Amino acid sequence: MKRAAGSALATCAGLLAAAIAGNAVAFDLKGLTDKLDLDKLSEGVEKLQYATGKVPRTKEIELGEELSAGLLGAVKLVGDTQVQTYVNQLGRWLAEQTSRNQKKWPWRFGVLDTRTVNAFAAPGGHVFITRGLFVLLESEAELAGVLAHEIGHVLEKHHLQALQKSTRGEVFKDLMVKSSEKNREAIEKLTGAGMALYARGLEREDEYAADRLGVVIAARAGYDPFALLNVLTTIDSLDPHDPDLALMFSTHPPTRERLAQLDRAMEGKLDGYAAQSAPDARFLQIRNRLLQ
Amino acid sequence: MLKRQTSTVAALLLLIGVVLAAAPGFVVRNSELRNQPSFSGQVAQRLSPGTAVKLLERRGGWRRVEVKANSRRGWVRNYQVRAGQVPSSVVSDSRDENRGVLSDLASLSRSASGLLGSSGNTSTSQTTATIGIRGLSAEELKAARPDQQQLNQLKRYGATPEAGRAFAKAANLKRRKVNAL
Repeated sequence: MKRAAGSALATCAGLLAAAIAGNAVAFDLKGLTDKLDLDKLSEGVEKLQYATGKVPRTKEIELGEELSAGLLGAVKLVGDTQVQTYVNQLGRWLAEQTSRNQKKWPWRFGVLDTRTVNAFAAPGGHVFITRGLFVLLESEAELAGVLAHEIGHVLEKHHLQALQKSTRGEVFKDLMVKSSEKNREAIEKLTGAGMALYARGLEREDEYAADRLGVVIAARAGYDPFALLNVLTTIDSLDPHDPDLALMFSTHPPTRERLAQLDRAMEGKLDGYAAQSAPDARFLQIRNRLLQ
Repeated sequence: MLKRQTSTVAALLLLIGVVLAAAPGFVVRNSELRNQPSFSGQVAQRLSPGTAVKLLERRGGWRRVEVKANSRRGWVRNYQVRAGQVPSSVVSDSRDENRGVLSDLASLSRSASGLLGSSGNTSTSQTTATIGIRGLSAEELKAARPDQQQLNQLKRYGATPEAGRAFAKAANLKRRKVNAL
């Protein structure tokens, strides 16, 4: 008992000493910060974050909007509100199953009016599918698989990372500068680099990762995750010399390799979610509108 | 009365079951027919694209099929088969036997959508496509000028989380807990 009291006393003394020392440090720190321009310090920290890959949400969305405007400059949206509403509601439901399910993430989905077979994503939550790919699909679950694959690219920030790599993060620092002119310049440079990235494609590993994420997101949303494999099978069956497929084939790993990798990754793990009932009537109705 | 209704329903269900069980299908890629729905199952037969099968039940990524030619039953990966009749003209491509079987179906839907020329011949599709849908090449992407009006249109189409949930509810889609792969 006596010993316990003694050790408690010793602990108290230790804590007191630590507290005094802590105060001393705090006083020193205050002296230091008084001499520093805090604005400059925080700007420097943010610049450092940009260079290392941490782009704040608002900037990511802004960049994604610019890249989307670029894509939409190359090809317009299908001018059918029913079609666009359908993909946006489906897309939003898929996004609900991810870490970016809050209202502050403005997910936007668009069907592009081109016969080219492809799908795209842009940072911040922008996803596109071409009319050419949409009409090849056979069910809502297949569409969910395609959209979820693109959502995967957004979540993993594949485009942001590729742009940071290709511009060595230099332009990203300018995103933060207060001068609106420099900011504008940075956005323009990044948009240019982004369009070149769409023409060039992401890393193979990024595509495989998006495939794996896509099937999981689709399964979480209640869809048959195996539908994405069906889409890949359809794509694999298309004429590789068709000019409408040239861009997709040149910017993605061989379809058969994607099928093999995805099938292996899923084997046994998602079997319980297969063959879920799919609401295909509304899907077919929308697809018919695109076929007209 | 009730009994008759019940038996009618039962007959209908049976009919649906038979129709489903006997769904015609075909193999779309080189596959192995296994005696179990597992990669450790023994391979009973190799199937080539275009082989007619009956589609039986599905289990996970696996699909039980019956080969029409010899009535042998076994399991293949579900994505290796498709529902429907074997396309009448199976295009054989010397470079790649896996391709071709489905390309007819795919080009059918593409030509129906006006995405291909009426001949389905892709080499002339650029000039024969009747509706003015353009392509999207690497060059066109790099030359594109941002379209702010189209971006604003895109933003207007965006759905709220509530709209997404209502969309799911209308089709009875339910959230599931699924671990990342």
